[in-house]
Amino acid sequence: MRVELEAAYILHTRAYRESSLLVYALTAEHGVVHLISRAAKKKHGNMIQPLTKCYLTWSGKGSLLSLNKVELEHSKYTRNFRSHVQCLYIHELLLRLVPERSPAPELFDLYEQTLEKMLKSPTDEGCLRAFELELLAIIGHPLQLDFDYQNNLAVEAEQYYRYVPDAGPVLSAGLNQTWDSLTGRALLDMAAGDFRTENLPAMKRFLRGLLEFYLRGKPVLTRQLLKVN
Amino acid sequence: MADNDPLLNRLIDALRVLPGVGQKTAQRMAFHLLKSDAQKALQLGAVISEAVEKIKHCSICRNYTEETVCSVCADLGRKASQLCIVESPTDLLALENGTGYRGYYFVLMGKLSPLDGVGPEQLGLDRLEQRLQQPEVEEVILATSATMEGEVTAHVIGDLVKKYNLRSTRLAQGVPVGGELEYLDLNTLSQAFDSRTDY
Ligand SMILES: [Zn+2]
Repeated sequence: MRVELEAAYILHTRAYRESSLLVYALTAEHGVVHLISRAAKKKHGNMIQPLTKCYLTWSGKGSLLSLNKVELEHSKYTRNFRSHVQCLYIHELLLRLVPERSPAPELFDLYEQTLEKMLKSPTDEGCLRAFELELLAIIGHPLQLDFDYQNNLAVEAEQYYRYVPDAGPVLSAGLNQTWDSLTGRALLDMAAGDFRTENLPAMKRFLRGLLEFYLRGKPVLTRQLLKVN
Repeated sequence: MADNDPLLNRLIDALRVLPGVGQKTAQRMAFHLLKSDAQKALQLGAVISEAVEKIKHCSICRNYTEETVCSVCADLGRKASQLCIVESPTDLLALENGTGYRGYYFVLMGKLSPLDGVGPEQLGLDRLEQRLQQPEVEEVILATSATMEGEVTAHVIGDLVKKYNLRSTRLAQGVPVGGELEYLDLNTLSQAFDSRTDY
């Protein structure tokens, strides 16, 4: 199989043997792919870098795909620390939650739009929360946020709820300290895609817990090690 | 290899830990060692075990050394006001050989890379912080690579440096010597353009 000049973003690279590189990329048509770039430094110079839209040509059979060619579109390279850390964070989510080679064109669009927003306003945490919600939907865990499925009632802003993964909110007597406990207001704001509210910290805590649930209890390393996002 | 040559197989497997050495190369190396002067092969074996046993990290800069303090840190003729942060011992050597810099170093032995499980602790940033508290240090030169992880590493250390009211500097990025613009990759070109200076 040979794929010619497919639009992609580099998510991560890792040294492999003496002069090769394992390249993890998000591509427009093939989802997340793992490629081996032999003689990476000589062949591609320093073109294999995140944050830059590129066009990759690769070939190979089975699980071993070789990166043959890299072309760059335009540079979004930045030295902004917040942008770098946010990128590390969403790259980690993509690499740990999205199975390799499961095509999802909407994921590529989501990533591209999020990157655009992040580079423009690096302090806007709302776009990270929006990314998390949409990512979960794309990988098969869409969030149902505005309907109490046990009591068959619409979620009300003034009430408290407990969220059950892959099901939805259930009315609860009050708030407690766990990630799955939140107000109706926060649920409704999230459902409406409104991340500019004072509920942002609550949404962050909730989504962090939910992501860890889907990561089987393993923490997000970017968060743990860099103490951010 | 035949199954009745377990020792030969073990030698070949052992050689494969070297970077870039696959099965074929390891076989060639093994036969070469056995064929060549037995004394030299024994010496190689001995020096590997001695080096691995005795070479540790310098207690001040984390570079490799068999002493408690490496030769760079022990050199009192250096400029104590400057401390240069590098990712690896090879980066340190490159700066020593290619620049006139004669201050001290701190070797991170990597860069922050959460996906690979590398955080501040793995880079010895607690030890670096102790170093920053020494009164003679005035400038910290952030010489980590110009990759996303290198930038994040530089930033996190830059924050530490600011905490102690020291000056931090970062290596410039631009057109490489001998580089013609039309052949530069777009990232390097746009970075060089954005960081142009008065002339
Ligand atoms: Zn030293």
